Amino acid sequence: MPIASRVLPCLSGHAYSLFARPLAAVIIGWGATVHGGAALASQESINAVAKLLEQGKATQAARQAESYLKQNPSDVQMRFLQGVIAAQLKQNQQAIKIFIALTKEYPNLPEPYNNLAVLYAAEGQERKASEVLEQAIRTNPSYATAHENLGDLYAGMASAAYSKALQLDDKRKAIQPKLALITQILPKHEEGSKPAVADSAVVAATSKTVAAPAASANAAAVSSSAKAVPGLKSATVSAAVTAAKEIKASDVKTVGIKTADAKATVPQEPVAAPAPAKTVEVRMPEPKPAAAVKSAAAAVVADAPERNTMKEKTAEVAAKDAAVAEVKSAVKAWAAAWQSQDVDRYLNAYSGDFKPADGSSLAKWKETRRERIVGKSGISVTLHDLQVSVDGDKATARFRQSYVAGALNTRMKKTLKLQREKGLWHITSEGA
Amino acid sequence: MKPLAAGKAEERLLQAIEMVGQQNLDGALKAVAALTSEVPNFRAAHLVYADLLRFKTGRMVSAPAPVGGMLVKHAPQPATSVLLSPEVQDQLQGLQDELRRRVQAAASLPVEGSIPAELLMLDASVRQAMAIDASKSRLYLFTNEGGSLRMTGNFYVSVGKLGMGKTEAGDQRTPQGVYFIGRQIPGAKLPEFYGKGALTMNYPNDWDRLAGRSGSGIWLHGTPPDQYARLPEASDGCVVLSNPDLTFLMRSIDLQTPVLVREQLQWLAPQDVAGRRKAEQSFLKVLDDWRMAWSRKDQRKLADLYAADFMKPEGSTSPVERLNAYFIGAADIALKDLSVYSWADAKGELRVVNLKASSKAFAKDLSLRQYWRKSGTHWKLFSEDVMGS
Repeated sequence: MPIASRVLPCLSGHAYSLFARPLAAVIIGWGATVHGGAALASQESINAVAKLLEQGKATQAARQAESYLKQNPSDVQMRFLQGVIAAQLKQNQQAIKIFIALTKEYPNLPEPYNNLAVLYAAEGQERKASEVLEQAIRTNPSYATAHENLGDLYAGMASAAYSKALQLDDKRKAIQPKLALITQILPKHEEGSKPAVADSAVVAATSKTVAAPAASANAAAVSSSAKAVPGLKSATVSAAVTAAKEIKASDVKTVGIKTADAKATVPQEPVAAPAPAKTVEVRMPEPKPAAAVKSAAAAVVADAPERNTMKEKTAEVAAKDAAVAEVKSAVKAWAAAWQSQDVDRYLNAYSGDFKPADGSSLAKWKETRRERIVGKSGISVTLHDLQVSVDGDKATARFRQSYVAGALNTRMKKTLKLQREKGLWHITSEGA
Repeated sequence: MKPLAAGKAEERLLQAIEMVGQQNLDGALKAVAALTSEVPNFRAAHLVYADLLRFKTGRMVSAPAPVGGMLVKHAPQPATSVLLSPEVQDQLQGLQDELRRRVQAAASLPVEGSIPAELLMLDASVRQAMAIDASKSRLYLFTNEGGSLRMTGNFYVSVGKLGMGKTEAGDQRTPQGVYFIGRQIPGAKLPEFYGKGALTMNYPNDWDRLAGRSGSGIWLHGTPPDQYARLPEASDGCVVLSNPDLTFLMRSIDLQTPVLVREQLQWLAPQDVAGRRKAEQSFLKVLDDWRMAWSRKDQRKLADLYAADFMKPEGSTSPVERLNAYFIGAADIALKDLSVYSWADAKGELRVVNLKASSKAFAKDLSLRQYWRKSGTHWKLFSEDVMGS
């Protein structure tokens, strides 16, 4: 669980700990730029309230925030601060309410999710907390990639450490970490909003963890990339690629990180072409499992049993389930058509409203797709972890796609948006 | 890099494991990462490190699908399970066992002032004593402070692959009994396998010989360079310590230091020590009878004290004839530096006695080691060695 304290200009770097448990720190703001230009006057008020809070005058801060919000009910920063104050005053339910509202209104901001997670965790609702944190990560694709990369790095380091513990020979160091590069970052969704500046405390914590003294030469290579990829405050794509090349230059064989040239891989991908390098600002929460871990390492080895939550089904839910099943089969049919290079059936899976991600016209896009698909000697498309959510006549399908054509072998996460048209589900957008 | 002091590496490992217990995973990870980099041959520490890393990974592999952006993934090699071969599986279990024993040993240190009953009557001249509990993979070091033992160290040890109770050469077991350190052999004179050196033990002792146990070369020794510690049951019968621990013992213990080796030690609580010592004193009466018999040259009494099957070290002379050479004309024999070790196993109950006999008639004291066996209600001397002569 991340110790994430966010920062108003005047509180820079001040970590704000709300709870005694190690998982608990609440973000207390997120930079003035987040909501498309907050007025200077409001910034002053916010600073004043934040200062009161910092001085431990939470009740006074609450009063000021409340009177301010009467005048400016939609000020997101002040509302956020109000949530923090409520948490500080141990009014957890009130705080939860505020942060839930913020996550609904500003689903792309990670901070309210984080704080919500901290509050849920404090209430002992760890499962809910973890779900909310996953949503926080989902607010920015770069977070998710960095998150996954960090996981891969840990996997690689774990593998190296097991090899040392168990004296495995090199050939058996077979847990190959897969390293994902952020090759393209789509602009954030709300107009004019700059991505939140990474919080220095968080970044420091993260890179410290990752760069913990590496036990072996292998791990050293991994951690050098770790510093470059997930933890940086403001890493450009080219920097990330450079880092990847450095890994390649070092002992790739034993570490098992394969870094092919991103360019060679990307253009053949069906949808998106790589965008020119953009500044990527990555913010990586430090993962800290909240689950209890028993003292003996043997206990650590055992995977935590998964808890199941039983959901009662209503008729409505059943109807939704049926729609989900329809969407799933539509997605599978689409993949099957692609794999069997049945271009007509493949293109028929797309709606007339489909907007190609490369900005070209639908006709032009279809032509390109046809050429690419027919031209291949063989294609294999496999989907994993297909997850579908349906909202009326609209649906979203998320999955991991393995695509093999000749020597090209790529895996990516993909999101299809579909809509029901005359009883059939058609793809309206395709994004990675 | 300078090696960590004796016991330090384990202490740090246990601290890291304790942090896991306190849910301070990041602290634990950091601590054990530092430890593995400082002590890269500490395999059990690597296992803890690997587990912690894997735990962090496990939380994260289910990272959610991104809403935008594109990831290029490079197809991982087919995931092969690395832990399945039997040897690796054994190694893994062995390391887990090692960790468990280390943790348990630290958690179940005997109450201060407790001693193994076998070491009840040590003369102040015996400066240290060691006791090995194989079930805990632990060697306890005691310092004798004016006749009472205080535990001043405890160390992880490995024993024979097939456990305890050596009976014959090559059985890959570690003997049980009361032994004494013989020589110190520096590591430089030994193959790398023995690490920083060895302390020899007098297995088989006279009791082992009487019981028909065979084999030799049971040492306490160090570890090869690629291993900080060996698995709990790993040797051919020797007792193996980490090099820093062994180095510490080589520097601090005397020759002829007693080493009690048992599958499981029986600890005598501090409040029971005095009472039991008093009870044990009845044996001192036997020794006094023996002294008197020699002083008076009471041949009948001597014949009664020495067992009929007395082991004759040099074969030719009877024990009485042998000691007669020393004791002739000595009517004022006094005993000093008297230490009595008790031992019992399936073959019988015995007392191992170290003593010095002195007399105005002697140029210097006579050091003796005796093995007494209980025969019915009587104690019979079945072996007697003149030490350091």
